[in-house]
This record gives sequence, structure tokens and C-alpha cells, in this order.
Amino acid sequence: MMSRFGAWLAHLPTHTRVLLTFAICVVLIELAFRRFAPHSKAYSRWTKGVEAVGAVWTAVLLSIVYLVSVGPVSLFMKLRGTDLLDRSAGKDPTFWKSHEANPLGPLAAARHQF
Amino acid sequence: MNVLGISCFYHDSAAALLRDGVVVAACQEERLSRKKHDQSFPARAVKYVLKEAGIGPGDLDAVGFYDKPLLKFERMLSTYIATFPRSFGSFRKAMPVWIKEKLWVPAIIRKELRPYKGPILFAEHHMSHAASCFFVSPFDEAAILTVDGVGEWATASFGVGKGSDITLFKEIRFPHSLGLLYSAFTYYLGFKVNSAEYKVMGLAPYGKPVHFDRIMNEIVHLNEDGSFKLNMKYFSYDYGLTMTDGRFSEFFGGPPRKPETWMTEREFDIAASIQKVCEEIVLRMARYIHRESGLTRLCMAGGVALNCVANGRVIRETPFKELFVQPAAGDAGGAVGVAHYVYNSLGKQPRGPAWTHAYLGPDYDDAEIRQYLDGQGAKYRVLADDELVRETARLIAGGNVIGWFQGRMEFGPRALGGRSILADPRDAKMRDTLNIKIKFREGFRPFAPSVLADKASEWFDIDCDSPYMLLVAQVREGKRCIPSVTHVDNSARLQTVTREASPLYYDLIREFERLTGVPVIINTSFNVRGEPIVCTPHDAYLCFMRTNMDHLALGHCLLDKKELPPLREDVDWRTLFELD
Repeated sequence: MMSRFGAWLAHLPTHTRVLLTFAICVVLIELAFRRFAPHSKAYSRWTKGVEAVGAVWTAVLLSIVYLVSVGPVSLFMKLRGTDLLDRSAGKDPTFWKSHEANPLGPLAAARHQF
Repeated sequence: MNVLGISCFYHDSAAALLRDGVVVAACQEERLSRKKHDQSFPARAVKYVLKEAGIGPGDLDAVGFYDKPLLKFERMLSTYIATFPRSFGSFRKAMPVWIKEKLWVPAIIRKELRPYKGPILFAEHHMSHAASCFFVSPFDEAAILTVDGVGEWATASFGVGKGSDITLFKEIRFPHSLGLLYSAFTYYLGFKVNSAEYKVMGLAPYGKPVHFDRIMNEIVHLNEDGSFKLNMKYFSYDYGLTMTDGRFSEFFGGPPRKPETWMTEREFDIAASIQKVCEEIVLRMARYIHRESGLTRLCMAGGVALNCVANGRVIRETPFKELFVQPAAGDAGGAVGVAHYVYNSLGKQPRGPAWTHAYLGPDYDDAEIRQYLDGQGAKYRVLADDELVRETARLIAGGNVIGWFQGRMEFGPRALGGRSILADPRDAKMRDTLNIKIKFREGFRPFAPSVLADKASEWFDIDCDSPYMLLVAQVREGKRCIPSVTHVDNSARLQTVTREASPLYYDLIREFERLTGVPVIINTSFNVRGEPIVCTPHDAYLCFMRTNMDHLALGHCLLDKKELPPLREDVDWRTLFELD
């Protein structure tokens, strides 16, 4: 088992091995802090540092998600001339919209978050 | 049948417990967590309401949540799509919170309410508001108007309530929102959004509505029926992290006012203008709803229903003969609303008695209070009810400022004689004293009067009750000897007090009247700026000791500041509360 894992590891490209080692180290350090020094200043500093890195990664990932998912749909909507927010300065005699009752009926609808 | 209502994850989270159609307890999380407008899951409030009912989570029959998170999420995604790429900042800030928390409401509720296994039911945001005002109102049948910032898609809705049923007919949808319009001006005037809208209302009488026509011509397209659309090119709340953008600033000839800086006539006039716009919209909506429903009773809820100046005009200037406004009209009231919706509308159960007061929070008996005070080494006198009333009234008439902590805490944003600071309204300097030395807040802000209900129409231009301090009326001309509660336009946001709802408080005002001939006292919330209203004897004692109040009536214990040892604190308490 171990030899098969070692062989698999050896076949990985160098940068993947470095990243994997880094990730394992982070997990081990975290576990060690939780086990041996959960209230220490060092753990507090470690947590802050990891959270800062996490915030950067979250921003990067969300930026990609935003560009890849929201962007194309938005472009499509703009090409179709659809405004999901109905922001046009209409001259309708009323801007009241009918309240649409949920087709499931009140009780069934209440069981859902939509 | 026990139903728990929960509202949270936007602002002012709260919990309410309904037993057989009657609200046993309701409490905002901020009062217990001591974090103003706390939006987190109301774990402390839930614990409290369950304790008050003497049950555990396993004894609940149903749990209601005050809105539909997935519909809200849909609205947010639609907004990001419609405003791409400007919505990037908002997307990046909001998504982690949604992914981590807001999309998992049922799981969070189940985790917090272990071992509860029953149903979790969701009501639409505006249905929760509608239920929160109609089911606790004294009306069998009434028109309902709910107006706030935004729920799922709706920003305002109207309907009719009859018996145990509520039907919503029409709505106005995001981004066109009266609540957000008002908040945008709140932001522009340098105040905190979702918190300080009432300051704009208080500022308005100092100015002239010189921008009213310009706003109506350019920013708000208002129809006769009260429906409206906003010209979104002036706003950035749909895509950004602020409420208004450069065009808005250009329109009003300058950038937003920086918080805590001086205010000029310009700010006064802008506040007066948006207040007039708000009133105009609400009045037109109310008249339209009257025409459509043919009813003469109206129930209102939603954050905009806390605009008591507009409420006062609704009752005076529309065909509605009676008005009921939910005392916790904002999102906190949604907890009560969804609980009632689950019990009455979905459960088809008959309605319980109408609310006569809003004292639904924690209370502390004399033994607990004395134990706490003894622990602090505080000197106090224990007085019987009649002695307490006589002594407190005498102190108020003598120009003292009193912390008044009695019975159960109020539910909603107003202090109504349960957790109040009381003073003499005849003293013209009292307003400045209270604002600057006790509340540590802006000098322009007015104070509200509590008046004996049977004397209200004698002193104020009002012919109905205002038990929850949600109506503004003019002080009558011959009665303008109460300058500290009379605003610059001679108006006052009054609370009418009845003996049935609040016997001790009523007797206190009655005694004050006997001493002075004035059946009115100043009633302001027991807190300092940025602090939630006090909840426990500990909160009250700290607030009392940190400020320049003279006496504290804590249950039957009366404390004199001069006889108390100074408070020893390691930190400057002013840094504990973020300014609102």
C-alpha cells in the first residue's frame, strides 16, 4: 500500500508534490496547535495568517466564478435586451405588480425556502 | 401548540414564542448580545423565549423563519447579472456569507434547536410583516400595508386580513424601494444605514423641503396610486457597497456628508425633502389601498412604518379611521409575524387577543435585583409601589434625571416605560442635558413625551391612542409649556399611557401631574448612543453609573448616584459601542 502510494507520489510533477507537501504540513500544524496549544498566542497568529491567505484565495476564486458564470449570462441578457431588474423609466399608470401566490399552495410552499 | 418564530441574518434578529396563538415572549438578540442591530442567529433570544414559556426545543410544534432565503438569493443573483461588471465588489463581499451561512438556514436552525425534529416553515418576508401587524391588531378585518427596504423581491405590499386569513394582492419590487430610497438619503446625510433613518426624520423639521419637486421630477416617478419607480442611475445600492453614487452627489451639489461632521441648512433641507417625499408616497399608497379595499381600518408594518410622522399623516389625512402599527415594525417583528402566520393562517386557528402592550421581554424580580446590587456594594432604598411613584415623581419634578427599570422589557425599538430614562419636559434645558451629558448623542435630536392616555387629546392634536410611540402629533397651542418634548415644528412623537397596560408607569405620570399640573414626562430609551437598550439590572446599573443620570429606580430599589461608589472600569466604555 505504502509502496504504491510512494510510486504514485513519485510520478507526480514536482510542483504538485511541493503543493501537496505544503498542504499536508498546514493540516499537521493546525492539528498540532489544536491538540497541544489551542489558546496560545502562536496559534492565534497562525490562525490570523491562514485566514488572510484564505481571504486572498476566496477573492481569487470568487473573481473567477464571477467572470465565468455571471459575466456570460449578463452578456446574453444584455444582447437579448432583458433587464432582470425592470429599471426602465416606464410611464405605466401603475407600478404595482400582482402578488403571485405560490402554485404549491400555502402549506406546501411554506415547507420550501422558495 | 408552541410555535417559535425566528428572524435573522439581515439586521435586528429576534425570536418570538407563540403558545396557542398568544405571544408568550419576544425578544431582539441585540438586547442580550449587547451588539446593536445584531443580525446573527438569535440563539440567546431563542433560549430566553423558551425559558419564559417553560419548555425546551423538543416541546416545539413548529418553527417559522421570517423569509424565503432562496428567493432572496435569486434576487441577489439577478441583481449581479443585471449590473455586471459593477456588481463585482458586492458579489465578492456577499457570497462568502451566503455560502457559509445564509443558504443553510434549516441546518442552522436544526443545529441550534437540538433535539427539535418538527417542521421548519418559511413565510415570505412581507407576509411575515403583514401577519405581525394584523394578527396582533384589534381588528377582525383590515387593510394591510407593509413597506420596507427589501424582502425577497417585494419592497412594499398591500393586502387584506380577515379573521385568520391574510391575502396579499399587490407589491412593488426591487430595486424600486421606499425603504432603500430613504436609506440612500440617510447614507448621503452621513448617518448609518439600517440604523439611523429615524435621525433623518428628526432632522427634517429643521429644514425646508426645497428639493421636493426636483426629487419627484427626476428621481422618483410616482403614480397617483402610490406605486413608484426610482431612477436607478442615481443609486448604487443595487450593485455597490454604498447607497448613492456620483450622479446623486452632483444632483445635490456635493459629496455625502462625512459622519460626525457639522450639519448645515443644506442637510436640513435635504432631510426635509426626502421626508416629504416619503410621506407623499405613503399617503398615496394608503388612499389607494382604501379605494381598493373599501375598508376603514389599516394595519402597517415594515421599517418604513416606524416613520411616525408619516403614520400621523395617514391617520389624519386619509379616509382610514383606525390605524394599528406593529410596535416592532422592522425585521425583528418578522419573528412574531411568521409565528402567527404558521399558527393562524397555515394552522387555520382562531386569533388570540389583540396586543395591549409590548412588554414581552425578560423581567427580574426584586430578589434578583437586590442580590445584584448587594454584589456591587450599592446603597439603595426599597420602596413600596406608592412610595416609589411618589418619590420618583418628586425627583423628576425637581429636575433630576431618572433611570426607570421596571417589569418586562419592551419588544421593538422604543422604550415604553419598561427600560426608560425619565425627566421633566418643562425644563427647556433638559433636552441638551439629556442629549449631551446622558445619551452622548447629537444635539438636534428631539425627545418624546409619555402622556396619560386620558389627557392626550387635551395636550396634543390627536384623537386616538399611540401606545407604541409611533404617531406624531402637534402640541396644542395653549400647552406649549413642555419645550423639551416639543420639536421645532411644535410636533411630538408621543406615547399614550393607560393604567391597564402599564400601571406603575401610569401612576408615576399621574403623580407627576399632581405635583406639576403636567400629565407628560420625557421618556427616552435607557441606553447611550450606539448601545442597545438595557435588558438586565447589570446593563442598567452600568449605564446609570457611566452617565450623568441622578437616580435609578431598579424595580422597587431606588438608588442615588451621590451615595454610590464610583465604577471601576479597565476600559473606556465609549469604545465598547460603535456609534449608530
